Amino acid sequence: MNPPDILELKKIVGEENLRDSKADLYVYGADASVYEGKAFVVVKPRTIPAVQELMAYADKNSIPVIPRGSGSGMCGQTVPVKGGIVLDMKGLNRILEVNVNDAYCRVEPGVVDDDLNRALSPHGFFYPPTPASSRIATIGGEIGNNASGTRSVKYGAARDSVLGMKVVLANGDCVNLGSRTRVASSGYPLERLMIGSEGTLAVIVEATLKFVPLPKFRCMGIANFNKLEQAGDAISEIIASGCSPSMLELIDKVAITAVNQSMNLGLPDVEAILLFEADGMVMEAVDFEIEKAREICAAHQGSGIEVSYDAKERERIFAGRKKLFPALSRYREYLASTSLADDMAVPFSRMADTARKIHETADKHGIIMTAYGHCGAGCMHTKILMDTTKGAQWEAAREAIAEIYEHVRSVDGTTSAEHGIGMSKAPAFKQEKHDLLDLMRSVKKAFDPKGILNPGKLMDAPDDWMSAARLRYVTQEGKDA
Amino acid sequence: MLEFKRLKAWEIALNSCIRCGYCYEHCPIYRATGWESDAPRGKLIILHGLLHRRIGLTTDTGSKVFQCLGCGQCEKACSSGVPLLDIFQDARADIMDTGIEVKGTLAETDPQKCVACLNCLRVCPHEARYFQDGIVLTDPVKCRGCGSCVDTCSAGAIKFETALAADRGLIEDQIREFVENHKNDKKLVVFSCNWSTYPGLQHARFSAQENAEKEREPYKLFVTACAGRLPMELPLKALELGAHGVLVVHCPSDQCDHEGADRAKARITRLRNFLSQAGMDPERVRTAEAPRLDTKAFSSAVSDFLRYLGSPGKKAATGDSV
Ligand SMILES: Cc1cc2nc3c(=O)[nH]c(=O)nc-3n(C[C@H](O)[C@H](O)[C@H](O)COP(=O)(O)OP(=O)(O)OC[C@H]3O[C@@H](n4cnc5c(N)ncnc54)[C@H](O)[C@@H]3O)c2cc1C
Repeated sequence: MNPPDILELKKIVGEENLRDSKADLYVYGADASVYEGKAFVVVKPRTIPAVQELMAYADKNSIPVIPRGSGSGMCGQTVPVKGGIVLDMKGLNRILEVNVNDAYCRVEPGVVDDDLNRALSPHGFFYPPTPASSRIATIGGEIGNNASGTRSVKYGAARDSVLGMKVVLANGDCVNLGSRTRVASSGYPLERLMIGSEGTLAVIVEATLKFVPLPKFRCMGIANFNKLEQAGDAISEIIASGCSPSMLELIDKVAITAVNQSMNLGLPDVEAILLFEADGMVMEAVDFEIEKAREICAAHQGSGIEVSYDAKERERIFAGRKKLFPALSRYREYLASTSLADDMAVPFSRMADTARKIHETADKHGIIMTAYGHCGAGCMHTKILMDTTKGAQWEAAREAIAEIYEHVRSVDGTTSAEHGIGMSKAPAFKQEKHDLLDLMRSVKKAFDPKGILNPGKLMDAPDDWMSAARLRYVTQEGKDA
Repeated sequence: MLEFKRLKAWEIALNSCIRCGYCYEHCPIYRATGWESDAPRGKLIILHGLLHRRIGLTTDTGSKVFQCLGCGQCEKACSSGVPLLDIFQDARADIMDTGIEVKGTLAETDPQKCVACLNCLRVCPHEARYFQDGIVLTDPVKCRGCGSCVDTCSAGAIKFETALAADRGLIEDQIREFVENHKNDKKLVVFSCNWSTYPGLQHARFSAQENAEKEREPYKLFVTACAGRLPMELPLKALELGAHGVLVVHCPSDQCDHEGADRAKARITRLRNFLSQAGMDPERVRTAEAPRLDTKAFSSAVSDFLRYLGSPGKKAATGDSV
């Protein structure tokens, strides 16, 4: 792959929208994953024609292009493993239209999720996929990863909120995909192909999104379970009962210990906590959902059940979940909280045994893993807490991850619920989708014949995640992990 | 030989950064430039790279950590409890030990002009000024770029290469672009103190946007280190470039650790007098007080001003330039 002509790029985007100093390139080589890479140059296009020109130039010269939102992806999606041009899409960050009558909005890809929701809320609406990282995640990145969040159990993932989009293809052509209507029946739904494609098919330059009314009432509840399996049974029964929670979150023992240790929140010493929420326009309807969830939790030996409509109380109830990340980072001073085997989805009925499997596997290999997540959507998250300075811990992590994903496949789960594949989850992804890899590569070739868009990711990532790119951590021996 | 002795002690903390980027929205430098390499996460990544010799120490890589106003908003927002301020401070000391030249949001003394009155030494709240060889210099490790020294210097010997969070040229370019994009609008440029309205800023932006019923922002916002540090030329320059109004938002006097509120008010009063004398509407330049985290004060000051600029018959609405 060739290095680009910087002068040529400056002509396209303008001098102030290009950076290529060592410091800039090092930073843009990283994201929220365990990896580091090095781009040739970072550019911040501010118009669609600039994106088109950049792509035409890169295609002609066979230079890799890595579209990037805020780089909060956890699996190395935006790490430039083959050099290339990083397209910082945050320069295209306008909310173009909020069309209440037709119930859609049009945004540029660099708009941050929270900003979009701030713009929608005065109209009485919200954009629901909202990941936990919504203060930084861009709409382009959410589409790239098919992001979802705590409320996806009721409102779905990015895939369920995108009506259409404008994309720039590898050769620089700009095309419109999808529509602005709620229904659109004929032809291949190519806009859907973009969702979860991790920047490998085209550059999204505009998205048409639907939004939903902000509920008038939200009620949150909490229940503690002595056994993980009791919580697991409660989850699948809540879903099976036809109840429609707007949030159903699981927190495991490791996470509880972490939160209590570092923040002194006084969570009970149990194996699992479930948080549930219902929302709606009519209080009786919300009451109905909450009552049902409460009854089911109680039937499965849930204790300490509390529910509240009060905003402050809801905040207090949710505090344990909210403080999870900092708590895990502070679990033990020498342990880093790494984004490895960070997410997966399993059927509701397999939530508990998957969490159990994660704990047992971690114990077996001498690492610490937590299991938590948006379990109402079937989503399970983990973090691996390990001493990243020890080579042996990395080997242990490698084996544990392989075993955990083998379990996920065995229960008909899938490799990623929402964080995506990038490089760190590629081995598991490729095993799961083994019969689709050629088909996926053909699709990629149809969009991007020269393979310039985010190369080395998804089905094209190496089989060994540890050597797929340089790891950010350094071992005691002074070697890269 | 580069040792990074102090930084080495922070190795575990650097590893504990999960690189989530939750610090971005709180950083005035990132807000001003929009480049991830200027954000706190970017700085931690660079320090990690320097410590492990994955990137070499140069003026470019070493300077990033000196482009910081020490406001500490990143540390408060950090999802992993990383003590960013202490890390930055130690990294600055290590980098200065190597003797390389650094550039940043630091006060600079013009040796030709300094008369060694030592006033700046007395007023600097960070003990960042010291006397050496007949002039007063800045200790880059300690300087927080608050600008107290600039104001007190009667010889006009102290300046900031980067007058605000971003560099001066960039600010002027952004004002130009804003004016160009709002040809038919009332154009308001807002300089807002980092310590007062921030971080409620994003909120305020949208409430004001809603009031003005505009698809695009009706005003351009710059976050300053301390309102007291805003040189008079910048509001004037904004008017010259075509802004209809300039608003300077500062903390209440009793909340300001830098006497910045009083300095800002005094400076804007002088500017208003100047405008009057020049036959222009002095109301085109205003100050507003916004207590910490009070987003309402900020947005109502912006909305009031926009209303004023838009009201028919006002000189300001015609867009006459200085
Ligand atoms: C602390 C933390 C919590 C998180 N919580 C969640 C969560 O609850 N749910 C969840 O789903 N994720 C979560 N994530 C992961 C991540 O933040 C989200 O997936 C987010 O949507 C990524 O947005 P981004 O702007 O950072 O995208 P990036 O990481 O920059 O990019 C993500 C992918 O999209 C592609 N892309 C970006 N912009 C474009 C474009 N314009 N055109 C084409 N491709 C593009 C990139 O190439 C990349 O493959 C979390 C991450 C962190 C660090």
